[in-house]
Amino acid sequence: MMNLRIFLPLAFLLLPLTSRAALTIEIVGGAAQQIPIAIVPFAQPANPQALGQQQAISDVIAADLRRSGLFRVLETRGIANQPHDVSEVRYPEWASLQAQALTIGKVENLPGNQLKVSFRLLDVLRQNQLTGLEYTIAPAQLRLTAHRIADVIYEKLTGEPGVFSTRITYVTKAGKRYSLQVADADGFNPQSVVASNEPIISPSWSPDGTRLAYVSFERKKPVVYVQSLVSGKRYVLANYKGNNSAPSWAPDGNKLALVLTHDRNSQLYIINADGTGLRPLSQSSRIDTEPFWSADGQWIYFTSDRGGSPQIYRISPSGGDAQRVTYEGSYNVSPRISPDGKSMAFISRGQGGFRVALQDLTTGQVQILSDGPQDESPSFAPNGRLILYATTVRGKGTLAAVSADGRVKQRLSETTGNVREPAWGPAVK
Amino acid sequence: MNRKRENPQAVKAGLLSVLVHGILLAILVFSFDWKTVQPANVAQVELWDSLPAPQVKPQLKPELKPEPPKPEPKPEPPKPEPKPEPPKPEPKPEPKAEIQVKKEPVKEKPPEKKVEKPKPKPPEKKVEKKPEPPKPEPEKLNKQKLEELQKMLAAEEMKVQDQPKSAAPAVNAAEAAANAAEVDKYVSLISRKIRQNVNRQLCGTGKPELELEISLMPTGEVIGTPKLLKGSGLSACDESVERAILQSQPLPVPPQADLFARFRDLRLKFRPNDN
Repeated sequence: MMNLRIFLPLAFLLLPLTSRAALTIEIVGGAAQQIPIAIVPFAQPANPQALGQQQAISDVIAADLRRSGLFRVLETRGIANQPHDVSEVRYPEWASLQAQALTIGKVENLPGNQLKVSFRLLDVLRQNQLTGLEYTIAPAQLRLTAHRIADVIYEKLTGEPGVFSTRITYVTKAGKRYSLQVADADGFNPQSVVASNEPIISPSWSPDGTRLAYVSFERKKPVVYVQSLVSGKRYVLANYKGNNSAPSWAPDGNKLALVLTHDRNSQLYIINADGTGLRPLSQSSRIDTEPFWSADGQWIYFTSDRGGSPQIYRISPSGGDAQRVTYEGSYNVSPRISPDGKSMAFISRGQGGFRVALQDLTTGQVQILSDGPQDESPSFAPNGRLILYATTVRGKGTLAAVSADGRVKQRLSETTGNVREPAWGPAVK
Repeated sequence: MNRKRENPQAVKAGLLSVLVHGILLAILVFSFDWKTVQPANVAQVELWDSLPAPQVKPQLKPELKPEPPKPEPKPEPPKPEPKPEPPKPEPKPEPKAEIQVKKEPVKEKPPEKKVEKPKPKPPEKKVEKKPEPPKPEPEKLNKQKLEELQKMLAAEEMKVQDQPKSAAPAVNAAEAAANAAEVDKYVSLISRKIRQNVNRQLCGTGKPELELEISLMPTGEVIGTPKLLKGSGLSACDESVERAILQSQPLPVPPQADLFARFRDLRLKFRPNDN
């Protein structure tokens, strides 16, 4: 008995010897760039006027995903059966549309002028649900909810956090009026933070996304302010003799790096967020400017002409010697470090003019990402996938974004007017 | 007493042991036999080895001439044709469809796109789980038929392997060469079709390598879902590759039953970030 029990399984182990090995096929590379997804228009409540003039939620989601460059949003109008519940989904129809993923959902009225938004993300090929969520919101939050849903879909299918519900800031110039604005990442809902007849430049987000530091010339000289986006209140962070400019928050939110001249050459300083504790960081006889604090807090990258031409260097926030970072080309400025700390976006001047470049901080390899010729102010999306920057089209400043691999470029056409100095805000949970 | 009681047990156990060893030996012999029976097919076996290199040109001349026919002629009657003709994987993915090209910012043409649409999908194989009532009946039938079909194919395959000794070696060689070319053709068709759907944006910046296993129906549809043997470490990448395989259904497979047998179980190796 014992023997049988032991040997029978062993005997079975031998059986595979008689079958043949599977044929192996190699697939090298890939030709697809986008995930094909279908988004069925959400079911609406009977009285759609409750939603006001708002764009349909599925359209907002579709536009977000499309803009990311990673999705191909399929036309769904030709499909007779428009499901809103899982039980209504006929997967083969969507498979024949070449969709890999399908989003369905509905908006329902709740008592007290509230809405319930629910959606499901379905895997068309495996015919199962990838995720499903429900939100109870005020009607005014419909658009934000659409962005959040797009974030969930994006993260589920790409493995990276989405950035559609984040915000960006930029400066518009209309006539003689400068305005610092904050808008949704898709350029909608722009709100003026502060306006002036003198230039406003260099906005920098606090790591928690509640405050902006910026430079305003309203006192006829550059002064650094910090303004709360919650209360709208602001205070002067630095108004020293000479120029006060280029603020950059430390990742802990308690300090900022900035540039002061004190009537000498531009030098780097560190200051507490409440305006106290000013101390010098770099001491050189040349111009040091545009500090940017890396996300891990270990380095402050900055631009300096100490080597003869403008190049990017880095220095520890506790001081010490600066290390040169850029070597290619004769003009490299405006460093911005990716959230994962692995790469640096900056502006490089070459034959194509001023263009956004990306340097791998490990290998030192440089890749030019944008087309120029007047690109400036690069800024990483919080997931590192896109770089927002300002460019000039027919003499007018406009915002553009390029994927960090350089494959996808887009204009943010939603922003109107003469737009400059963009900065992408942090992802706030 | 004790001894006496133990002895019969021991004898019994010994017998069992002998028996089992006998079985094992039989299995071993059988399996070896199986292999020794193959020589006439050596050319085919050789082809297999050449397959992993996907771009290899069809080896028109089998380098291994079938060995001298072994004296072991099993004058089998010509293989019984499997009556249910394996549904032809009709779409030879040659026809390029232009329609999608615009939407896809890729220079690469997605040739399959069109092919897939017209395909009259066999009643969805996966519907079992769904409560959808309409067509459980034909679907089950289909499944049964399919199983039968596969069984027959398997039986057929074995015969095919056992039998060809009798044929003239020259004929075999020519046939084998033709088969080799055919197998190569479908290997590269499958590779190309799946490649169209592999999304390299989702596999990070490293050089991931993935390995999946699939089983195919004679129609080129994947049975169940692909099995991940070796992942990339990025679940989004793993899943996107899996979706790429599923989206490539039906995969182009040879219509000839004996050749399809090679394609029933496939191992797919992916290097999405290489060129």
